[in-house]
Amino acid sequence: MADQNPIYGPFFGVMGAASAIIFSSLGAAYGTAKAGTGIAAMSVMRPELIMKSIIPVVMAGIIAIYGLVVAVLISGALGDSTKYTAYKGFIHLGAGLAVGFSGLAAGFAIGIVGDAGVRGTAQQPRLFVGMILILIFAEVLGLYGLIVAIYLYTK
Amino acid sequence: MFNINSNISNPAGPFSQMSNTDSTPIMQAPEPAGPSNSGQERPDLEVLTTVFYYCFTIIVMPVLSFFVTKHIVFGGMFGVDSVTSNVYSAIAAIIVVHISLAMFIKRAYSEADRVKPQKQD
Repeated sequence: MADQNPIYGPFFGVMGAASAIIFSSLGAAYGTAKAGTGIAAMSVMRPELIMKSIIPVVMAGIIAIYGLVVAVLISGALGDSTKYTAYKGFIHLGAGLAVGFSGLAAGFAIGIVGDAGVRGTAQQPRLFVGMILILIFAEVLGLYGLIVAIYLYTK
Repeated sequence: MFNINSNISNPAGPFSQMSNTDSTPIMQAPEPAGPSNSGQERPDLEVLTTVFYYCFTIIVMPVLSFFVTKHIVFGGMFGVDSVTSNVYSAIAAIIVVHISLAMFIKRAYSEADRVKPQKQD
């Protein structure tokens, strides 16, 4: 019993929930800030394009929603060490790290692509479709991490 | 179509203080626009309302749909256990947020097409 349910078992689960939201928010914050500087520089000349240019910021926000979902899932399953095995703690730590670092990578990609994309869209509006496609492919990186995290969570 | 970067040879423009680590040349401020320029664009309040509506939808709807589906649909009506209802609720929330995002992109795309013919230089 004691080797299955050590006192430090829930520590890993808590760290998983924390790292899910921390790293996802880190990526989302970088994406928002980087794309936001591009929007601010672009809007000086083309203020009518602001609504189109908000899309990278919204997509970066969705990265944080991925982390939020996984953090809420893990937090709902946390419990006292008497009924929370170390194996569940490891599983939850892995799930949190999966969605966290995938969200960090996706947020970096969205920020850089969004910055260059909105600056380019101001000069060539036909770039918009390409920018959306690249942003979706960057967003899907975070979605892969979410899928792995949910799949781990069901173990 | 105006040339945005026509003044590259003069890097110390009026907005050079806004420069960040990006090496793209900072756009120069346009000539002071006359009052006739502001009449072509849609009212700012309408754009603000639209953006707030979609941002509210994208932020609130997934969280709402997660807890609604968890506690009412899967937990209450179907009576599945906790882990399964959590997973299905999370999937429902992610689907809802992507539907909201698709609606926002569609709106932004059609918005730009509607504004573009009015633009002149």
